[in-house]
Amino acid sequence: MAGIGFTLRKALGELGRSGKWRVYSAAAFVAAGPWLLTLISLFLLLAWGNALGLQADQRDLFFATITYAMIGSNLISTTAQFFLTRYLADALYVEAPERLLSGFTGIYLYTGLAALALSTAFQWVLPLPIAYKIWTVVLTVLLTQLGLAMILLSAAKAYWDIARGFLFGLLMLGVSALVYSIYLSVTSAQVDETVMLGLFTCGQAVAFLWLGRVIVRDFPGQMPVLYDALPQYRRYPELLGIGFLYAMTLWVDNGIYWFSDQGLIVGGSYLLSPGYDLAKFWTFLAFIPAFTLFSVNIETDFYQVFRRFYDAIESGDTLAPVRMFEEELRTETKAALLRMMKIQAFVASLSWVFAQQVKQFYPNVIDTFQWTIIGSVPHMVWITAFLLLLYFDARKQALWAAGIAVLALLAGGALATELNWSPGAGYLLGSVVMLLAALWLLNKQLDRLLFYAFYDPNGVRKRSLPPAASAHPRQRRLGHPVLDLDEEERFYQEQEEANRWELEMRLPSRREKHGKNKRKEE
Amino acid sequence: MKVTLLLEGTYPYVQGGVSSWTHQLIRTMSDCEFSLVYIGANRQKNARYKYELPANVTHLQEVYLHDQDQGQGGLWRWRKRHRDEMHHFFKTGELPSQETLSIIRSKRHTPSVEAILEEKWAWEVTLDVYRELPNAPALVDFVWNWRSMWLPMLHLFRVPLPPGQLMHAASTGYAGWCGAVINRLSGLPLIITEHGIYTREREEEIVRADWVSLPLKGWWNQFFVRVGRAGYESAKYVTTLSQGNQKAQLFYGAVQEKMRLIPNGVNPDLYAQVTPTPDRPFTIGAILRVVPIKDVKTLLRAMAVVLRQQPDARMMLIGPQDEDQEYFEECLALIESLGIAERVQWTGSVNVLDYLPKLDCILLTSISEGQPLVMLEAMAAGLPIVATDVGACRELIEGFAGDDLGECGIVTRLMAPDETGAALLKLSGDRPLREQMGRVGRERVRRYYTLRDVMRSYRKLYDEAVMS
Repeated sequence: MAGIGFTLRKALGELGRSGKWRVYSAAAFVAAGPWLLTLISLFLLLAWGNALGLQADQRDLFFATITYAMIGSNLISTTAQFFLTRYLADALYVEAPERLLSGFTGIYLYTGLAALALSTAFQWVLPLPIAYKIWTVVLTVLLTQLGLAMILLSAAKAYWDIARGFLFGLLMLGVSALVYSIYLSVTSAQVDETVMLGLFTCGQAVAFLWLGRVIVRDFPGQMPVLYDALPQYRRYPELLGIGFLYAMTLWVDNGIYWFSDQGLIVGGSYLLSPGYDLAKFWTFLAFIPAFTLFSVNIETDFYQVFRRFYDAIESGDTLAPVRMFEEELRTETKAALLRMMKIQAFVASLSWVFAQQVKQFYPNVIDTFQWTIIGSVPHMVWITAFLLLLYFDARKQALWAAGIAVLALLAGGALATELNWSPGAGYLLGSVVMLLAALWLLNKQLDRLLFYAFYDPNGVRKRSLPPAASAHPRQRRLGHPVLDLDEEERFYQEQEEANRWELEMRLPSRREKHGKNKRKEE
Repeated sequence: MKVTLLLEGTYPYVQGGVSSWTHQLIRTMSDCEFSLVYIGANRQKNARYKYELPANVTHLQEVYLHDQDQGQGGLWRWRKRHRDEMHHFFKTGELPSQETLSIIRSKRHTPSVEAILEEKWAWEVTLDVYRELPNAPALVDFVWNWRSMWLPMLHLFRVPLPPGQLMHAASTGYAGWCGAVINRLSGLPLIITEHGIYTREREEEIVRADWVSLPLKGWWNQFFVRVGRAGYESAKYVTTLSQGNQKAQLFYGAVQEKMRLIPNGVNPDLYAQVTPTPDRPFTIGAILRVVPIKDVKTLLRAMAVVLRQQPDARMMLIGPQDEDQEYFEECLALIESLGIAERVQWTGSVNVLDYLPKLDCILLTSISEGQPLVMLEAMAAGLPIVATDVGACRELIEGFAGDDLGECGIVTRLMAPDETGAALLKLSGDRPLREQMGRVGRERVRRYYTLRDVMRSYRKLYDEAVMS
């Protein structure tokens, strides 16, 4: 699904060379903005807390709580991400935007419940104050739902609404922090980590409410239907596995070090490995330029070549032009991987040199970082190859790629711990192995592009419409539009029904007849 | 004797000439046990038998060509020679060896026949064949047609082996192919009886079919010729109903030495008492299924021609109307537009014997026929016939070489409503001519087309096929 790329490329075309950087900054903001804003608000809050006399153990507990809430919510929402994105993409492909909300609500409810249940179970056993635990649960659920709301709004191309929502959340956090500072200065009370967590959660809640308002605005009067998730699961069960394993590739290596000698327990509750966690965090920041390029470049150039190939087949071209477009797509796929490798290698080199300059301040963290930043190159190319597999609907292969990636990262981490290597070396090794596996899988796919245009790459032989393109029987009973009736036919049917004369039926008023009420409403 | 009948889209689910012949064959040969293999396109929920199965039918195996295999995964341990044979098969339509057929039938080696088409080498053959076509069609059309072409054939490779000592297919095509496959696997002798010429009927269908794009029509025709030939080559005997059909079979690849001529037959005693009822307007009967191959539209247009000169004439359309609902509705619309609704009566499926006395002649405007049983029944009932020049119709009406009884009806050209209408008018205005033709028809049936003789010929052929 080509999403933000087209909007931004259109702007690129309109702005010319001078506006290029503005557009790329916008892409960067949209690609990583919400995440960055959340982190900025977190660091501002920590700085503010320090200024008000926040103790080191309070700060560590607060930081660990946020880390766990973010990882937990990321695991849950990313598990549902591909599952939901596929539904939204199918609905958009069959030009049924009214189905977007129905798919969303079901998955929204299930992930919300999952986040609630899992975080409650996890918090239950921790030796922390009850209020603190409740706030943590609320925060985990909110972050999960925020992630999903962003997927829906991205499908509806409401990128700037997402950005505004997060900015507004940050603003409200600032205001409430200010109010709390005044309260502290008046009462001379000590700053409390539970209140800080509450403030941070409220900031996220504001962003969430903002996005909720946008959803209500953009999908007015559409009936949310909860049971579209089940047919979607029956049709694409592997998408949940793909999502979960993909999310695991982001965090699984951290887990290895939490349980190693480098791990420590914060607040008697949370396992962390501060050195490795920080190095990985900086490495993730270095993904932003490549993700920006992915949004602007891959999702447009690649997508156009991708569509050209499939459109040629669908529109009834003969073998010769189809073969030409197939070769073009193959070349473009490889070029896309190369582009991603180049940009990530460039960013990694810069980061490595910069890290070398400041090594004396944090020698341990920087040492790890210098390994992980090199590892970010194969990791980023892996992410691209993985997403391209999903573009080609090679779900089985994507599942394999993600599964192998988790195992490779685990093995790399374990090997590094066993052999006393730098932790980052394990990540680098794992990334290289997982990249090689993904490239092999992608290459197999590319070899038989034309074949897979006719035969399912996942080996599914039973052909049926995806759930997003076929109305559920219960939906039909509720009057949900049936997609196999074309628009015109539906229109005439409605006209016919509207003009039918029934006993005791009042004639429509002149006002109604001339659409005056409608105009007034508009 | 235990015989397996291979039936494509006919008995016991569909009424019609071939089904009637099958039913007659089973009932008459009461000393034989029959197992039936019904080959259909799609499984239909509300399908019902149109005939009560006689007691000597012991098994009924239903095979649906578009059924999907449940097996998952790809081919396992296929050797190069198996792949080479299948490669050759896709290119030429020639049956693979017994060993390769066994590999295809094994669920372990071939979890689903679709897995064969998914192989890299099979895909290469697909593209090779595409490149060999004289006019390149849209690739997407070709690939879906390729699947529609080969999946049913591959599906028939896995048909369960039937019990018995002999197979008797009621046509070439998928039934003949199925027979050829079983013959290759088990050596069971195969007899093919062609009523119409299957390959020619498919050619006519393909010419009209809008689901086959123009560059693919020739390719499909070639395919059915190959399928027909596979049946002819595997069969021990190939029988047909008329000399005209024999010529067509030779043209499509049958070998003279295997050919036998066994016409259809009726029991003349059953129709001996039929005499036209008096004091009623001239009534034309058409005993048919309402399907395009019967060209009901020409029949209705001919009726309109008759009504212009003889406004009190009537027509009875006798037979089932549910086989092709769309075509039936088109016929109803044509009746409306011709303004002949009052003079046309649909009877539906009825006992034909009850209606024959109410008729003065029988009309048949088919585009393709074998040797229509309805004509023999009409002849046995002393009714003159107006029929198109297809299959054995001319032979039945005018007699074959050496038969000097005279004519029992009038032969017309295909899709010629004016000519057909004129022939009907000729009969309507000349009662002595009708009676004369009726007498000729009755005598011809008595001499050459009695059921007893026909069945005796089949019984003899069965013995020969099993013994030799």
